[in-house]
Amino acid sequence: MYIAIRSKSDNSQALEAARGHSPNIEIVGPRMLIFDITGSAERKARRLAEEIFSEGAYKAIGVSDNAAAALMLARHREGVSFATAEDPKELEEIPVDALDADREFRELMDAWGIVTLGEFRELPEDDMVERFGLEIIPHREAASGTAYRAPGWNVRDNNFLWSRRLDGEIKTIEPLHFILSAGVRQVFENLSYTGLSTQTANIILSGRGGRKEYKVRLVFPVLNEKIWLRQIVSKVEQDPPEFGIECVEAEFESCRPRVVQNNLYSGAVLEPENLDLVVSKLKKVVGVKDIGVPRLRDSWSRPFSMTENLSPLTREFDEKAGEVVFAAYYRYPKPVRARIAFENGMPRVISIKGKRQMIRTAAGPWRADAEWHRADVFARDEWDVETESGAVYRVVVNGPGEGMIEGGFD
Amino acid sequence: MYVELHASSAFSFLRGGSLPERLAEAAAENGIPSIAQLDRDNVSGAVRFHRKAKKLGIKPVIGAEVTMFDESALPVIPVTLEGYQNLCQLLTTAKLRAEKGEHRATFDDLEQFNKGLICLSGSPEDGLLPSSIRSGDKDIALHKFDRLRSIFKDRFYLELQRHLRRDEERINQHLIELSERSGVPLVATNGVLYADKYDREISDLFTCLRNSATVGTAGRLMSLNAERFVKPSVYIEKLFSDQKRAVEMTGEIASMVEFSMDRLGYTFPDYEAPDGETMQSFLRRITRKGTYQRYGGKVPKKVAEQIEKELHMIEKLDLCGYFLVVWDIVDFCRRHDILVQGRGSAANSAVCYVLGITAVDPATSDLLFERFLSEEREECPDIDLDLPSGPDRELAIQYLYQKYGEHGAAMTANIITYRQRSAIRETGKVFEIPEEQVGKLAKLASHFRHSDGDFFERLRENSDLGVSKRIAKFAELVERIQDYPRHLGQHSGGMIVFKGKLDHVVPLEPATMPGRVVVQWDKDDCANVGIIKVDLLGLGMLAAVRDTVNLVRDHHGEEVDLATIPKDDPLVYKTLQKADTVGLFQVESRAQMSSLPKTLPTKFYDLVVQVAIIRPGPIVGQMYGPYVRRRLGQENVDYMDPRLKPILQKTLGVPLFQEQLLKIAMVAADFSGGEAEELRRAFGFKRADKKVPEITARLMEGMKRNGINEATQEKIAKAVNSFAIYGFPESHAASFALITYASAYLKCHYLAAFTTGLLNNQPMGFYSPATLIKDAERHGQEFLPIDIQSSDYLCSLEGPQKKPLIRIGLMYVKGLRKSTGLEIEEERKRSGPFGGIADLLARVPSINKREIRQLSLAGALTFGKDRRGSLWDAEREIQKVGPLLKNLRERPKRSPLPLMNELENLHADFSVTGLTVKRHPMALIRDALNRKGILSSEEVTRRKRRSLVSVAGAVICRQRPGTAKGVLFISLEDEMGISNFIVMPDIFDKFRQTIIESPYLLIKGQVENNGIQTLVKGMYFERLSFISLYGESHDFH
Repeated sequence: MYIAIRSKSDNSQALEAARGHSPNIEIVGPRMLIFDITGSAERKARRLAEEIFSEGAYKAIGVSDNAAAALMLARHREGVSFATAEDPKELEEIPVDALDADREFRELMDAWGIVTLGEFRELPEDDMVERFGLEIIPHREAASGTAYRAPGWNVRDNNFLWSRRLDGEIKTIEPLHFILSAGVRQVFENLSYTGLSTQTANIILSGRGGRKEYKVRLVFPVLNEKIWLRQIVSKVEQDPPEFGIECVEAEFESCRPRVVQNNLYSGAVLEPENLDLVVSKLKKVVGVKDIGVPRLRDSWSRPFSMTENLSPLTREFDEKAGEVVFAAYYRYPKPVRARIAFENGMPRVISIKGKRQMIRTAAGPWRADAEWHRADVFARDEWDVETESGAVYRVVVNGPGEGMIEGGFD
Repeated sequence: MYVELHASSAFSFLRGGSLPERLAEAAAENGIPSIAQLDRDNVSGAVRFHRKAKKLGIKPVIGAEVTMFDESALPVIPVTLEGYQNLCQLLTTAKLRAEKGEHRATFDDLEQFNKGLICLSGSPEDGLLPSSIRSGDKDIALHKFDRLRSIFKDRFYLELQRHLRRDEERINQHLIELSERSGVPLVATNGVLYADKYDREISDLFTCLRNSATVGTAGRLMSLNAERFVKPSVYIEKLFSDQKRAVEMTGEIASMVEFSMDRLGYTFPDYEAPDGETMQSFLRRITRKGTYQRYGGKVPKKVAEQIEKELHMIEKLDLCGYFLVVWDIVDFCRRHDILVQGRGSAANSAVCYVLGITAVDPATSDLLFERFLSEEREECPDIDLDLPSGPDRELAIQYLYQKYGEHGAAMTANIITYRQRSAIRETGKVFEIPEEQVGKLAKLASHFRHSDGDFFERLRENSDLGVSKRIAKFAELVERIQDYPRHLGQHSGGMIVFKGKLDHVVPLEPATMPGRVVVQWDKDDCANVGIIKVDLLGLGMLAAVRDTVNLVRDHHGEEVDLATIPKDDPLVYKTLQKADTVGLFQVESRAQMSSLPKTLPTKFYDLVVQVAIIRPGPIVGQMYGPYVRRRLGQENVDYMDPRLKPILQKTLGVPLFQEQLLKIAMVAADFSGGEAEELRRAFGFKRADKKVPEITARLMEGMKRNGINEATQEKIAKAVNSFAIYGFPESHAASFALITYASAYLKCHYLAAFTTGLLNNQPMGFYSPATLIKDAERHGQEFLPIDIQSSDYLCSLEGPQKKPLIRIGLMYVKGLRKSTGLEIEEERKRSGPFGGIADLLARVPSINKREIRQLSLAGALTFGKDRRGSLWDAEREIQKVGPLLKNLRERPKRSPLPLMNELENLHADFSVTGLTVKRHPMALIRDALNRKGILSSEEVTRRKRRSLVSVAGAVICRQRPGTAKGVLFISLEDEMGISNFIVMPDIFDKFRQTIIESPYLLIKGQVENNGIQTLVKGMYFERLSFISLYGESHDFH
């Protein structure tokens, strides 16, 4: 027997209920799953369904000796419904529109006055085949609750499974990457339906020549396909199988997601005291002439120049004449608040953490005020400013006198 | 001083965010002395822009952005008339050689049409030159630069734009370097897309529409900031402080521009008179001939004098060519048996009558030529020709295209603008409003008015969308884009001609209809620049009348000549008085039906008045009420002054017609005809014309001279003022009344043929085919259903000559292609009836399975079976079977499908054909309704005034005229007839959705019986549950 559950919101509660009664569970959609209770008598299955339904988290539960019929009942009826090949009554009452047929077919049924699956079933098979060809057979089977549906169990215990048997052997990483990416995507979709994440995976590659298993474990749970694929492929590359791969299996252990999870690793930021040290090292690598401090110029055509003088406190600058420099922009992980005072529409003074500095040069504004249709209206003016201490910042002004330093030219 | 040389209005369809007038206003507000409107590939907004700018004292410059071969845009500005003519030809060439919307110009086109044009390099995001710079194709950019320089020479400028975007400056620097190297001057523009920052939202909305994106998916397609507005000089000067010369150049360029829309070089084409004749002599000759044809040897003196007076005026105003062109079209129509009739003020002309252009006889009518043509009239004359809609009219249109050659004739455009429904649908898509909600709001929209409160309030009341900024913005933008141009369409009948040279005056482009070319201006624009047009309008009723005459000839063997049918048939007037006017021209509306039993027309002129009086003008101008009261004897007839009696007698002292206004001025104040027409026009403007005080003074002086007392002078002046705005042309009403009378006459005497004519020319008129059929049935007409063995494509007459039946044609099967329908008809006529569905499929191989199903469902393929049986068989026959199995097929078995009951049959009728010849649907549930005490349309007429009643029926009309102050009129139809309801605004608000969405209604209300008609004042509305009531009725049996 099969029990299909259509939940009100997500599958999490249904999954828990299913786990309690069966090792074979398939997540069919964001609010639909099916599990088998083969070995249970009809009466027991019906009682179980009613028990589960009484929890209140579900819209419908379908019980049948046929998986497709169970799903049909859950999709198109409310409450607990039951149908078998011997007792198809509740299935027969389902509207004929429930069949997975195109619009033309549905319109024709409407014109014929065929409203329910039962009425559809009554139409003589030979005549129907004569009219629609053999394509009508699956519909008739679906209407009688005898349609075959291959099991697609994709949840075992806490694990989410995926496997693919290949048509031929593969021996290189690129096709493996491609195949794995489809599998990972499928698994993660199912995981997302449950609100779960994963931190551990077992990847099994097998073929005529052998079988190899790779265990991948991340530092914390992550549902990012790219990260996972990178890790898995890296593992395989480090220890590639010595046989042609004919079957790829993946088993992801589900777990609760991290509360804060941006799918990114945060990098370290250089402390200013280390700057000289870093610059010296860089000079050795790229050459003395090719490293310097960007200066902001009052020019449309050449907004930056470079000086070798690395002291941030100098008041003079000595410019490499005629050189156009594409200054590297470093975006701060967290913008720094600043207050900016304007004079004649140009920024004149900037205060950062209480420290006031005059602005020697300013370029801008570069204006963006897009997405006016949103409640959180986005409007900003960007300025590139060089302070009297030689620091060049990108400042965003988003209110009178209020701004954020988003980054610097370094 | 800065001049904006690159601005695009909303006539850059789905790009610009402001109307042309608003751009001109913004320039004036910012102190800019001149602004150039360069719309994308068109000058459709140029006339409006030009007029507004001139009014504001701004120098308007007209140009265009031309879409080039690589989809970039090249701005060009004509400096001379030659330059403008070249621009028109450039756009025409690009448009006419490509599919609609796929036009591109090439460098070769620029070589050919560059003289007199200034060229700019274009905007950073899509300009011809900047687009290549942006994409890094330096070689291509250089190539383009070289070509533009060689084509335009010293008329080429490199365009700088700064919109506070980082990515633009790279392009600007490249252009600056290019200028320094080559000497090509720089010019600063702002690439304006909207007048002010607020309209940027509209521009973004249009961007989303143009790219089929939503606000959620548009991403960077939407503008980064709102800097492309009309900026004042000081702003631009600051922005381009490093390029002062580029700013100064704008003023220099603007001062070079000599071209003005006031001098387009258009003259109305000459007519090619026969050898040895001039246009004048030819016109006189054919006028003489026409006079003889109309009157034989007995031309009334007043007519002869009138004709001579008119010819003199026509020659003086040099309009012989115009009259001959129109006569030529009419002559073509006559030679090809196409019904044609001139309407409008042209019906005041005796010359038009004898030339056969109009049908109003000056001998029997009081015409006033000055209403049509006079020296004082500043507008060109306007002759509209009514032709039967359909192929006849197309023939006339193609005749003009052929006669005036390529680029010599074109239709006027119709600027399709956003109305509330289209605004809701399109804005809804952009704002990701669920489709069903959009559909609901759009459906309700036609019943919203601004007086109902703003759209946002209506939205909150009638949808589940909730309140959020997105929804509020959606509602706001729906309102804001009303009347914004959406795209260029084609006017239904306006044509302008200029032999071989129309593309020197205005760009031409292909219309959607094949074989048609359209100019980029609508009829108002054409009139404003002095282009004379001829309107060839398709009237469904003329087509119906033509068909009726043919059917009468073919079936009854009688010849009906519309010119000679008696105008005093008592049966016709009796029918009109009873308001038995479903299907009749101009008198079938609810308002007309309500009015006719009061006005009781008894002669032709009464009909002329009837056609004119049920219009917003006379109702708002308070002419309708007094006329009806005087007609009913409830009020005394007052002529204001005895001298006005001959003028106002026919309308019982109520000034109704514009011609009466002119005559009043002529009689009371000694105005000449031309002066009187000037008076009418001055008073007729919605805003006060500056001539009004002067003309009023002359009117008063004239009346005083004629001894009219002050009180009467005031009365007359007030009446003149009032109906100058609201009066209707008598000539127009007379032209229409002829058609009204003809339709009534034909319905009275040849009901079958007339109804068939109506059915064969849908859509037209006020009522659906379903209602026309039921009305005819109530008059004793019988109908035959669609049948593959008998139906032609069109509806036809069958049976006895005296009282034929009407066979519904295959044309009414939805989804059946015309070609298939005609093929079925031809094949059956050629080889006899069909033996079955298989035989039909074999003999009409083009028929597809959907068409077979539709025919089955319509009951056309019965072959002795019911509809479902036919469907069952059809499904078998349409399966492709190879030759091997074909002969092995068993005979079809009996259908297992359930038979349709009567309701299902009716449902099938309506869903597939939109009509039924079976019982009216309401008849099916009459028993259940009777048990509930719900009355029929016939029963309600017998109820006393003020009694409370419940009535049910199919909704055939919902009307909410602008003059009715929010009152809604509904008509319900049942098997007995039609019942009428009024709904007060507060009740309508309460039941709005039910009223608007329900095809069948139950209405409870109070009877308002005024002795002439029965009306029910609706108080409660409910959707009629047909199926449950049918079950009750059915079960009873």
